Amino acid sequence: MKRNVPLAIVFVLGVFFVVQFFIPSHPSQVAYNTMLEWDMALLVFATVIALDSLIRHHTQKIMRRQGQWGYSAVYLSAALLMALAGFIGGTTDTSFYMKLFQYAMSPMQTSMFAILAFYMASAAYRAFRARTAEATLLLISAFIVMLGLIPLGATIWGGMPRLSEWLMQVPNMASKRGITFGIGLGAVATSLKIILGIERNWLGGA
Amino acid sequence: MMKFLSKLNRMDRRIVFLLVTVVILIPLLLNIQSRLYVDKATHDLFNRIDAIQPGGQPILISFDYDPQVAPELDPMAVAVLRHCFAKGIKVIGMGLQPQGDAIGEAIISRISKEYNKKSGTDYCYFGYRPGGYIVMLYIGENVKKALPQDYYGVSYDSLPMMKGIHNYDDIPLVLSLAGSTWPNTWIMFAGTRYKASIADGCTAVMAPEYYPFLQTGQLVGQMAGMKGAAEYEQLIVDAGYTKSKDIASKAMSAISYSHILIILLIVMGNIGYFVTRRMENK
Amino acid sequence: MSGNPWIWLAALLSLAIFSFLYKDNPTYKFAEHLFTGLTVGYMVVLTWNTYAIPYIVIPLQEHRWLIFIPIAVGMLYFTKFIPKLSYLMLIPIAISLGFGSGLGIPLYVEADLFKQIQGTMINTSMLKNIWDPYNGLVVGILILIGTICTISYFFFSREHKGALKISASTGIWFVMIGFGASFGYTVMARMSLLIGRMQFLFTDWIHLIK
Repeated sequence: MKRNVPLAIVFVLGVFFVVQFFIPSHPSQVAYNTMLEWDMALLVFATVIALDSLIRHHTQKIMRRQGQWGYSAVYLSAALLMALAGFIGGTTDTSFYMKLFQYAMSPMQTSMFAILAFYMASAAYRAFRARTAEATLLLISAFIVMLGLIPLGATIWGGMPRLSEWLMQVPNMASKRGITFGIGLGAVATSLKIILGIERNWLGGA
Repeated sequence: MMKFLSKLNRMDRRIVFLLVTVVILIPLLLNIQSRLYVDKATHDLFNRIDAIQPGGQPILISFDYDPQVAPELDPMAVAVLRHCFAKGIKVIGMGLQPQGDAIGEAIISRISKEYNKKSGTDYCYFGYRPGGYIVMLYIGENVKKALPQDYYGVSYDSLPMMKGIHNYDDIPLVLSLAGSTWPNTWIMFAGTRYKASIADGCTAVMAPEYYPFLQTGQLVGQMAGMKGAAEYEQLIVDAGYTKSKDIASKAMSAISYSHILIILLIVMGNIGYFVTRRMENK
Repeated sequence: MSGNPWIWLAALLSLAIFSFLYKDNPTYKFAEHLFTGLTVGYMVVLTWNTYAIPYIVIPLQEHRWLIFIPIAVGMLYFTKFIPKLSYLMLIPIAISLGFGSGLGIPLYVEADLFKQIQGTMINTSMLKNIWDPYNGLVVGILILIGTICTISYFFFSREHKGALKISASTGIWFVMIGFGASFGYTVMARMSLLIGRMQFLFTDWIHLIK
């Protein structure tokens, strides 16, 4: 019962909305629009649960004085500061909330991704080896594309940008298409497995 | 000589970090710019937007990205908005990524001031719309349901520009500026179900993945990474919509030298590796 | 240098993150936890303003009482805290999962399969210019071979022997070209992000770049 009801719900809704795609009638559209709205409302409650898990984890860490609990205090303080700034001060352009977003959150987020450039350069230097013919082909393809993307590439050889563009539009496109087929088939297979109740990991321990 | 070559792949990584910093900083300080070869995909996007009637139906620009990829995508947004506002094309702005909310507003309000464009009549910015594909499906049914009020709290019915805009049939182009797979979702839910015309501005990491969709016409155009933004800047300058290139074009010189550095590092690493292996085999 | 304290805050926090390049340190850890905490606070406010108000509060204010159905179903999430009833949490999950899966199947099939098969087919327009490097017949055949061989490379239900081995071996060549192209673009992407940070630090903070 505990597992059968959710499995039945998934099956009924899944089949209904596969079939609904092909039925343009008014009742079908009403059902579809209503489900869209209700799904948005459900998201609010899912967010509350996620928030509870985060707060609980860090609060326990602070109360038990577990390793590096000071950082958990920083985490919770920052979350509280931002939430209060938004609810009390509003979310307009000149609000404290927006200033924190623009001058604290965004720079840190961008910087975290920017340091990847250094590690990518270091990894390319240490690990990219033309050990096999396939690896050599990968490197040649990478060099052609890298040179084709920059003005200096056209200076080295006038045909480099067009060669790079051809590489992207023909062999690269063929391989990415093959991968896209695989992703599409995999997604359809996974969705069917969920609808038919073959894939049950989402049920957890129930 | 062989001993020296065998050490080429043993450089301290902090020296690599320093080299990366130097090759990026020096071109930025010297402000070197050069003309670019413009990709067909960027040309197609430019031509598609250029063909839209001024003062007619609006294009929809979706700011589907977070701050971490803003250096690549902000210049794209600025270039396209300059094109639209200079030509008098109306713009609907929105976003599917929570943090794109403030990013989109900052860019649209800044560029609109340059061209003296007014919110509600020349552009409408609706901010972050939660729900992802659900928003795309709503727009296909009834735009008002997806975008009930704009970022500034003005209701949909009070926005003069939105009169007569019901669904994708009234929007000649949807441009998704995304750092992840949002363009795939737009293609699936808006392009497939409602036959909307979809174009994307994506990070360079995602660009190769979208070539199959460009070839089938599911994407009508694309800007790929900072180069795509620089290409678009060059196109709007050439067409006379703006006088000078912007951030992306200035950054291309730094990108040029960094690519050369990466190629040299890989070649050095391989020389050192093969020479070391040869010495060990002897 | 900038006199704006907010620019200084942004610059110092950026440098705190960059300090990780030397090694993991308390400054970086502080900045990391500060960032994740601010993100959670940001999401709370955003969820309230953009989900809860338009899809729950406003329908209630407008007396659209049918909204009590998703509210009641959503409240089942909170049975997580009552061990004996925690299985009820699966019902709202099942609804979202069933809806999303059912909606996605026809769209994946059309966008990722049918349209891509259509694009791979040799068509009569290719005969007009056989040697066109982008739309010619030769290139069309190359794309067809490349796509089929790539798919065969990822087919693991059968051992790669005989004809499958030949097509898989051809497929790997196309895959390597694709990955090389992806690497080239990835280099540009990562460098762009670093350039963006450099432009901020040396334009807005230290006015060195004009």
